[in-house]
Amino acid sequence: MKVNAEENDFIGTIELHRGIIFKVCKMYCPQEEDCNDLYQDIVAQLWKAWEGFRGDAKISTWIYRIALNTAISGFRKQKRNPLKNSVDAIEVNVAQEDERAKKEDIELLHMAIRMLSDVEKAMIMLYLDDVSYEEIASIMGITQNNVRVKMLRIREKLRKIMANH
Amino acid sequence: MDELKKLKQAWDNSFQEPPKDFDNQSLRDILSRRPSDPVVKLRKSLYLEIGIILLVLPFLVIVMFWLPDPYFILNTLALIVLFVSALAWYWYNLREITLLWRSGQGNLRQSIESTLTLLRFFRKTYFYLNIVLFPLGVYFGYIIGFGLGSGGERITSLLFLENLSIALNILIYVAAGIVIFLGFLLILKLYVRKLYDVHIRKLESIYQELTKNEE
Repeated sequence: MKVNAEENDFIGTIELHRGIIFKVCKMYCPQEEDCNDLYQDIVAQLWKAWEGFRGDAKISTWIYRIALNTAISGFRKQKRNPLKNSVDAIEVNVAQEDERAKKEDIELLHMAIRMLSDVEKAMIMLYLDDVSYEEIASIMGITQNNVRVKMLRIREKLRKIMANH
Repeated sequence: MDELKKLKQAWDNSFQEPPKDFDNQSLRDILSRRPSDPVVKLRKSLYLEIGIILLVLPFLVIVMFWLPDPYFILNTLALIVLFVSALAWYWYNLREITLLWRSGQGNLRQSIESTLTLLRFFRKTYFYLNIVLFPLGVYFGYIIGFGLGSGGERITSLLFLENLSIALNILIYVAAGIVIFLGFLLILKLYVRKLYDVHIRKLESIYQELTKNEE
Protein backbone atom coordinates (compact mmCIF):
# COMPACT_ATOMS: atom_id res chain seq x y z
CA MET A 1 0.00 0.00 0.00
CA LYS A 2 2.84 2.36 0.91
CA VAL A 3 4.58 1.54 -2.37
CA ASN A 4 1.38 2.24 -4.29
CA ALA A 5 0.87 5.56 -2.55
CA GLU A 6 4.47 6.49 -3.32
CA GLU A 7 4.04 5.43 -6.94
CA ASN A 8 0.88 7.51 -7.27
CA ASP A 9 2.63 10.45 -5.69
CA PHE A 10 5.53 10.08 -8.13
CA ILE A 11 3.29 9.71 -11.18
CA GLY A 12 1.26 12.74 -10.13
CA THR A 13 4.42 14.84 -9.83
CA ILE A 14 5.83 13.64 -13.14
CA GLU A 15 2.53 14.28 -14.92
CA LEU A 16 2.57 17.82 -13.66
CA HIS A 17 6.09 18.37 -14.98
CA ARG A 18 6.10 16.07 -18.00
CA GLY A 19 6.64 19.08 -20.23
CA ILE A 20 10.23 19.30 -18.95
CA ILE A 21 10.94 15.66 -19.83
CA PHE A 22 9.26 16.10 -23.18
CA LYS A 23 11.37 19.16 -24.03
CA VAL A 24 14.62 17.39 -23.10
CA CYS A 25 13.64 14.32 -25.15
CA LYS A 26 12.69 16.40 -28.20
CA MET A 27 15.85 18.50 -28.11
CA TYR A 28 18.24 15.58 -27.63
CA CYS A 29 16.47 12.99 -29.81
CA PRO A 30 14.67 14.32 -32.87
CA GLN A 31 13.77 10.76 -33.93
CA GLU A 32 10.56 9.38 -32.44
CA GLU A 33 12.03 5.98 -31.53
CA ASP A 34 15.10 7.41 -29.77
CA CYS A 35 12.88 9.98 -28.08
CA ASN A 36 10.69 7.26 -26.55
CA ASP A 37 13.75 5.34 -25.34
CA LEU A 38 15.15 8.46 -23.72
CA TYR A 39 11.76 9.24 -22.14
CA GLN A 40 11.69 5.78 -20.56
CA ASP A 41 15.29 6.10 -19.35
CA ILE A 42 14.58 9.49 -17.79
CA VAL A 43 11.42 8.32 -16.00
CA ALA A 44 13.24 5.20 -14.74
CA GLN A 45 16.10 7.35 -13.41
CA LEU A 46 13.66 9.78 -11.78
CA TRP A 47 11.84 6.89 -10.10
CA LYS A 48 15.14 5.50 -8.82
CA ALA A 49 16.10 8.89 -7.41
CA TRP A 50 12.60 9.67 -6.08
CA GLU A 51 13.25 8.12 -2.65
CA GLY A 52 16.28 10.35 -2.17
CA PHE A 53 14.51 13.55 -3.19
CA ARG A 54 14.20 15.58 -0.02
CA GLY A 55 12.74 18.70 -1.49
CA ASP A 56 15.75 20.95 -0.80
CA ALA A 57 15.70 21.88 -4.49
CA LYS A 58 12.70 22.89 -6.59
CA ILE A 59 11.03 19.87 -8.14
CA SER A 60 11.47 21.31 -11.64
CA THR A 61 15.22 21.79 -11.01
CA TRP A 62 15.47 18.21 -9.76
CA ILE A 63 13.66 16.87 -12.84
CA TYR A 64 15.79 18.99 -15.18
CA ARG A 65 18.96 17.82 -13.47
CA ILE A 66 18.18 14.12 -13.80
CA ALA A 67 16.69 14.45 -17.29
CA LEU A 68 19.75 16.31 -18.58
CA ASN A 69 22.17 13.92 -16.83
CA THR A 70 20.40 11.01 -18.50
CA ALA A 71 20.23 12.67 -21.92
CA ILE A 72 23.84 13.87 -21.96
CA SER A 73 25.87 11.34 -19.99
CA GLY A 74 23.60 8.30 -20.35
CA PHE A 75 25.02 5.26 -22.09
CA ARG A 76 22.58 5.02 -24.98
CA LYS A 77 22.86 3.99 -28.60
CA GLN A 78 21.14 6.20 -31.16
CA LYS A 79 19.10 4.04 -33.49
CA ARG A 80 19.32 6.50 -36.34
CA ASN A 81 21.35 9.56 -37.12
CA PRO A 82 19.79 12.69 -35.71
CA LEU A 83 18.53 15.10 -38.34
CA LYS A 84 20.35 18.12 -37.08
CA ASN A 85 19.22 20.50 -39.73
CA SER A 86 15.91 19.05 -40.74
CA VAL A 87 12.95 21.23 -40.07
CA ASP A 88 10.68 18.39 -41.21
CA ALA A 89 11.62 16.37 -38.17
CA ILE A 90 10.35 19.01 -35.76
CA GLU A 91 6.91 18.56 -34.32
CA VAL A 92 5.13 21.69 -33.23
CA ASN A 93 1.89 22.10 -31.48
CA VAL A 94 0.58 25.08 -33.34
CA ALA A 95 -1.94 23.84 -35.86
CA GLN A 96 -3.89 26.83 -37.15
CA GLU A 97 -3.12 28.15 -40.60
CA ASP A 98 -3.23 31.79 -39.49
CA GLU A 99 -0.42 31.09 -37.09
CA ARG A 100 2.01 30.17 -39.82
CA ALA A 101 4.50 32.84 -38.80
CA LYS A 102 4.46 31.64 -35.24
CA LYS A 103 5.03 28.09 -36.41
CA GLU A 104 7.96 29.19 -38.53
CA ASP A 105 9.53 30.96 -35.56
CA ILE A 106 9.18 27.81 -33.51
CA GLU A 107 10.65 25.63 -36.23
CA LEU A 108 13.57 27.99 -36.66
CA LEU A 109 14.22 28.12 -32.93
CA HIS A 110 14.11 24.33 -32.58
CA MET A 111 16.37 23.88 -35.56
CA ALA A 112 18.85 26.41 -34.20
CA ILE A 113 18.86 24.78 -30.76
CA ARG A 114 19.49 21.38 -32.27
CA MET A 115 22.55 22.77 -34.01
CA LEU A 116 24.11 23.69 -30.65
CA SER A 117 26.36 21.37 -28.67
CA ASP A 118 24.90 19.19 -25.88
CA VAL A 119 26.05 21.60 -23.18
CA GLU A 120 24.80 24.67 -25.03
CA LYS A 121 21.47 22.98 -25.72
CA ALA A 122 20.97 22.25 -22.01
CA MET A 123 21.84 25.80 -21.00
CA ILE A 124 19.63 27.55 -23.53
CA MET A 125 16.69 25.26 -22.65
CA LEU A 126 17.06 26.16 -18.98
CA TYR A 127 17.43 29.83 -19.85
CA LEU A 128 14.34 29.86 -22.08
CA ASP A 129 12.40 28.16 -19.28
CA ASP A 130 13.32 31.06 -16.97
CA VAL A 131 15.55 29.00 -14.73
CA SER A 132 17.80 31.35 -12.75
CA TYR A 133 21.57 31.49 -13.32
CA GLU A 134 22.05 30.15 -9.81
CA GLU A 135 19.92 27.10 -10.59
CA ILE A 136 21.56 26.61 -13.99
CA ALA A 137 24.94 26.64 -12.25
CA SER A 138 23.73 24.06 -9.75
CA ILE A 139 22.25 21.78 -12.45
CA MET A 140 25.35 21.98 -14.66
CA GLY A 141 27.91 21.88 -11.84
CA ILE A 142 29.72 25.04 -12.89
CA THR A 143 30.08 28.53 -11.41
CA GLN A 144 27.50 31.26 -11.98
CA ASN A 145 30.22 33.33 -13.58
CA ASN A 146 30.85 30.59 -16.11
CA VAL A 147 27.10 30.35 -16.74
CA ARG A 148 27.04 34.06 -17.57
CA VAL A 149 30.02 33.80 -19.93
CA LYS A 150 28.62 30.74 -21.66
CA MET A 151 25.11 32.21 -21.96
CA LEU A 152 26.44 35.29 -23.72
CA ARG A 153 28.22 33.11 -26.27
CA ILE A 154 25.28 30.75 -26.72
CA ARG A 155 22.81 33.59 -27.33
CA GLU A 156 25.17 35.11 -29.87
CA LYS A 157 25.63 31.75 -31.60
CA LEU A 158 21.87 31.17 -31.64
CA ARG A 159 21.27 34.62 -33.07
CA LYS A 160 23.80 33.98 -35.86
CA ILE A 161 22.31 30.58 -36.73
CA MET A 162 18.82 32.03 -36.87
CA ALA A 163 19.93 35.03 -38.90
CA ASN A 164 21.51 32.72 -41.49
CA HIS A 165 18.26 30.82 -42.08
CA MET B 1 15.64 42.47 -25.57
CA ASP B 2 12.81 42.13 -28.08
CA GLU B 3 14.66 39.34 -29.80
CA LEU B 4 14.99 37.47 -26.51
CA LYS B 5 11.33 37.99 -25.76
CA LYS B 6 10.47 36.57 -29.17
CA LEU B 7 12.70 33.57 -28.53
CA LYS B 8 11.10 32.89 -25.15
CA GLN B 9 7.66 33.26 -26.66
CA ALA B 10 8.48 30.84 -29.46
CA TRP B 11 9.86 28.41 -26.89
CA ASP B 12 6.75 28.64 -24.70
CA ASN B 13 4.49 28.18 -27.71
CA SER B 14 6.31 25.03 -28.80
CA PHE B 15 5.11 22.90 -25.93
CA GLN B 16 1.63 24.11 -25.13
CA GLU B 17 -0.31 20.89 -25.53
CA PRO B 18 0.41 17.89 -23.33
CA PRO B 19 2.43 15.43 -25.41
CA LYS B 20 0.75 12.26 -26.62
CA ASP B 21 2.10 8.91 -25.35
CA PHE B 22 3.46 10.60 -22.27
CA ASP B 23 0.38 9.69 -20.24
CA ASN B 24 -0.36 8.12 -16.88
CA GLN B 25 -0.47 4.54 -18.23
CA SER B 26 2.88 4.81 -20.01
CA LEU B 27 4.42 6.03 -16.75
CA ARG B 28 3.00 3.04 -14.84
CA ASP B 29 4.32 0.69 -17.53
CA ILE B 30 7.82 2.12 -17.19
CA LEU B 31 7.74 1.78 -13.39
CA SER B 32 6.66 -1.84 -13.62
CA ARG B 33 9.72 -2.70 -15.69
CA ARG B 34 13.12 -3.50 -14.19
CA PRO B 35 15.15 -0.28 -13.92
CA SER B 36 18.15 -0.13 -16.19
CA ASP B 37 21.06 2.27 -15.76
CA PRO B 38 24.46 2.34 -17.49
CA VAL B 39 25.92 -0.03 -14.88
CA VAL B 40 23.19 -2.59 -15.60
CA LYS B 41 23.64 -2.27 -19.37
CA LEU B 42 27.42 -2.59 -19.22
CA ARG B 43 27.28 -5.47 -16.77
CA LYS B 44 24.99 -7.47 -19.06
CA SER B 45 27.50 -7.59 -21.92
CA LEU B 46 30.35 -8.59 -19.60
CA TYR B 47 28.27 -11.21 -17.79
CA LEU B 48 27.47 -12.91 -21.06
CA GLU B 49 31.13 -13.36 -21.94
CA ILE B 50 32.13 -14.41 -18.43
CA GLY B 51 29.21 -16.88 -18.38
CA ILE B 52 30.42 -18.57 -21.55
CA ILE B 53 33.94 -18.89 -20.13
CA LEU B 54 32.61 -20.24 -16.83
CA LEU B 55 31.05 -23.07 -18.79
CA VAL B 56 34.53 -24.06 -19.95
CA LEU B 57 36.05 -24.21 -16.46
CA PRO B 58 34.09 -27.25 -15.15
CA PHE B 59 35.04 -29.05 -18.34
CA LEU B 60 38.71 -28.34 -17.63
CA VAL B 61 38.36 -29.59 -14.07
CA ILE B 62 36.64 -32.80 -15.23
CA VAL B 63 39.35 -33.47 -17.83
CA MET B 64 42.01 -32.73 -15.21
CA PHE B 65 40.77 -35.61 -13.03
CA TRP B 66 40.11 -37.81 -16.00
CA LEU B 67 43.67 -37.44 -17.28
CA PRO B 68 45.96 -37.31 -14.24
CA ASP B 69 48.94 -36.06 -16.20
CA PRO B 70 51.26 -33.79 -14.12
CA TYR B 71 51.89 -31.36 -17.02
CA PHE B 72 48.23 -31.09 -17.72
CA ILE B 73 47.19 -30.71 -14.06
CA LEU B 74 49.78 -27.99 -13.48
CA ASN B 75 48.81 -26.04 -16.60
CA THR B 76 45.10 -26.31 -15.87
CA LEU B 77 45.52 -25.31 -12.24
CA ALA B 78 47.60 -22.28 -13.23
CA LEU B 79 44.93 -21.17 -15.70
CA ILE B 80 42.07 -21.69 -13.24
CA VAL B 81 43.93 -19.67 -10.57
CA LEU B 82 44.59 -16.93 -13.13
CA PHE B 83 40.98 -16.78 -14.24
CA VAL B 84 39.48 -16.93 -10.73
CA SER B 85 41.85 -14.15 -9.55
CA ALA B 86 40.83 -12.03 -12.54
CA LEU B 87 37.17 -12.59 -11.69
CA ALA B 88 37.72 -11.71 -8.01
CA TRP B 89 39.50 -8.50 -9.07
CA TYR B 90 36.60 -7.73 -11.39
CA TRP B 91 33.89 -8.29 -8.75
CA TYR B 92 35.69 -6.14 -6.19
CA ASN B 93 36.21 -3.26 -8.61
CA LEU B 94 32.72 -3.48 -10.03
CA ARG B 95 31.24 -3.14 -6.54
CA GLU B 96 33.43 -0.11 -5.79
CA ILE B 97 32.79 1.55 -9.12
CA THR B 98 29.01 1.00 -8.92
CA LEU B 99 28.92 2.68 -5.51
CA LEU B 100 31.01 5.54 -6.85
CA TRP B 101 28.82 5.93 -9.94
CA ARG B 102 25.57 5.92 -7.97
CA SER B 103 26.91 8.45 -5.44
CA GLY B 104 28.13 10.70 -8.22
CA GLN B 105 24.72 11.38 -9.75
CA GLY B 106 24.49 14.98 -8.57
CA ASN B 107 24.91 17.70 -11.15
CA LEU B 108 25.83 17.22 -14.81
CA ARG B 109 29.54 17.67 -14.17
CA GLN B 110 29.57 14.98 -11.45
CA SER B 111 27.42 12.74 -13.61
CA ILE B 112 29.86 12.98 -16.52
CA GLU B 113 32.85 12.44 -14.22
CA SER B 114 31.37 9.28 -12.69
CA THR B 115 30.13 7.93 -16.04
CA LEU B 116 33.62 8.45 -17.46
CA THR B 117 35.17 6.60 -14.50
CA LEU B 118 32.65 3.81 -15.04
CA LEU B 119 33.28 3.54 -18.79
CA ARG B 120 37.06 3.63 -18.36
CA PHE B 121 36.78 0.87 -15.76
CA PHE B 122 34.69 -1.29 -18.08
CA ARG B 123 37.05 -0.66 -20.97
CA LYS B 124 40.05 -1.65 -18.84
CA THR B 125 38.27 -4.68 -17.40
CA TYR B 126 37.07 -5.87 -20.76
CA PHE B 127 40.55 -5.51 -22.23
CA TYR B 128 42.49 -7.26 -19.46
CA LEU B 129 39.87 -9.92 -18.91
CA ASN B 130 40.19 -10.86 -22.58
CA ILE B 131 43.97 -10.88 -22.29
CA VAL B 132 43.57 -13.37 -19.43
CA LEU B 133 40.94 -15.33 -21.33
CA PHE B 134 43.12 -15.61 -24.42
CA PRO B 135 45.50 -18.27 -23.03
CA LEU B 136 42.47 -20.05 -21.58
CA GLY B 137 40.94 -20.24 -25.04
CA VAL B 138 44.22 -21.40 -26.60
CA TYR B 139 44.64 -24.00 -23.89
CA PHE B 140 41.10 -25.20 -24.43
CA GLY B 141 41.94 -25.76 -28.09
CA TYR B 142 45.14 -27.52 -27.06
CA ILE B 143 43.16 -29.96 -24.89
CA ILE B 144 40.80 -30.74 -27.71
CA GLY B 145 43.68 -31.23 -30.15
CA PHE B 146 46.33 -33.02 -28.12
CA GLY B 147 44.92 -33.65 -24.67
CA LEU B 148 44.03 -37.29 -25.15
CA GLY B 149 47.57 -38.69 -25.50
CA SER B 150 50.25 -39.10 -22.82
CA GLY B 151 52.64 -36.23 -22.03
CA GLY B 152 55.46 -37.72 -24.14
CA GLU B 153 53.27 -38.35 -27.21
CA ARG B 154 51.83 -34.87 -26.96
CA ILE B 155 55.28 -33.27 -27.04
CA THR B 156 56.35 -35.45 -29.99
CA SER B 157 53.15 -34.69 -31.89
CA LEU B 158 53.76 -30.98 -31.40
CA LEU B 159 57.18 -31.21 -33.05
CA PHE B 160 55.83 -30.62 -36.50
CA LEU B 161 59.30 -29.89 -37.88
CA GLU B 162 60.89 -33.15 -36.82
CA ASN B 163 64.18 -32.58 -38.64
CA LEU B 164 64.77 -29.42 -36.57
CA SER B 165 66.02 -29.36 -33.01
CA ILE B 166 63.62 -29.03 -30.07
CA ALA B 167 65.05 -25.56 -29.34
CA LEU B 168 64.23 -24.38 -32.85
CA ASN B 169 60.78 -25.89 -32.65
CA ILE B 170 60.17 -24.05 -29.40
CA LEU B 171 61.43 -20.86 -31.00
CA ILE B 172 58.99 -21.28 -33.91
CA TYR B 173 56.16 -21.94 -31.46
CA VAL B 174 57.01 -18.88 -29.40
CA ALA B 175 57.21 -16.72 -32.54
CA ALA B 176 53.88 -18.07 -33.80
CA GLY B 177 52.37 -17.48 -30.33
CA ILE B 178 53.58 -13.88 -30.33
CA VAL B 179 52.18 -13.24 -33.82
CA ILE B 180 48.79 -14.78 -32.90
CA PHE B 181 48.73 -12.83 -29.64
CA LEU B 182 49.57 -9.54 -31.39
CA GLY B 183 46.85 -10.20 -33.96
CA PHE B 184 44.40 -10.92 -31.17
CA LEU B 185 45.51 -7.77 -29.36
CA LEU B 186 44.90 -5.67 -32.47
CA ILE B 187 41.40 -7.07 -33.01
CA LEU B 188 40.63 -6.67 -29.30
CA LYS B 189 41.78 -3.04 -29.34
CA LEU B 190 39.62 -2.27 -32.35
CA TYR B 191 36.62 -3.95 -30.75
CA VAL B 192 37.09 -2.16 -27.42
CA ARG B 193 37.43 1.12 -29.29
CA LYS B 194 34.13 0.48 -31.05
CA LEU B 195 32.45 -0.61 -27.82
CA TYR B 196 33.57 2.07 -25.37
CA ASP B 197 35.87 4.68 -26.92
CA VAL B 198 33.15 6.44 -28.91
CA HIS B 199 31.21 7.16 -25.71
CA ILE B 200 34.33 8.02 -23.73
CA ARG B 201 35.56 10.50 -26.32
CA LYS B 202 32.12 12.10 -26.61
CA LEU B 203 31.86 12.53 -22.84
CA GLU B 204 35.42 13.83 -22.57
CA SER B 205 34.68 16.51 -25.12
CA ILE B 206 31.42 17.48 -23.35
CA TYR B 207 33.30 17.64 -20.04
CA GLN B 208 36.01 19.79 -21.56
CA GLU B 209 33.42 22.18 -22.96
CA LEU B 210 31.50 22.29 -19.69
CA THR B 211 34.51 23.02 -17.51
CA LYS B 212 36.11 25.54 -19.86
CA ASN B 213 36.59 28.89 -18.02
CA GLU B 214 36.23 27.17 -14.64
CA GLU B 215 38.90 27.99 -12.05
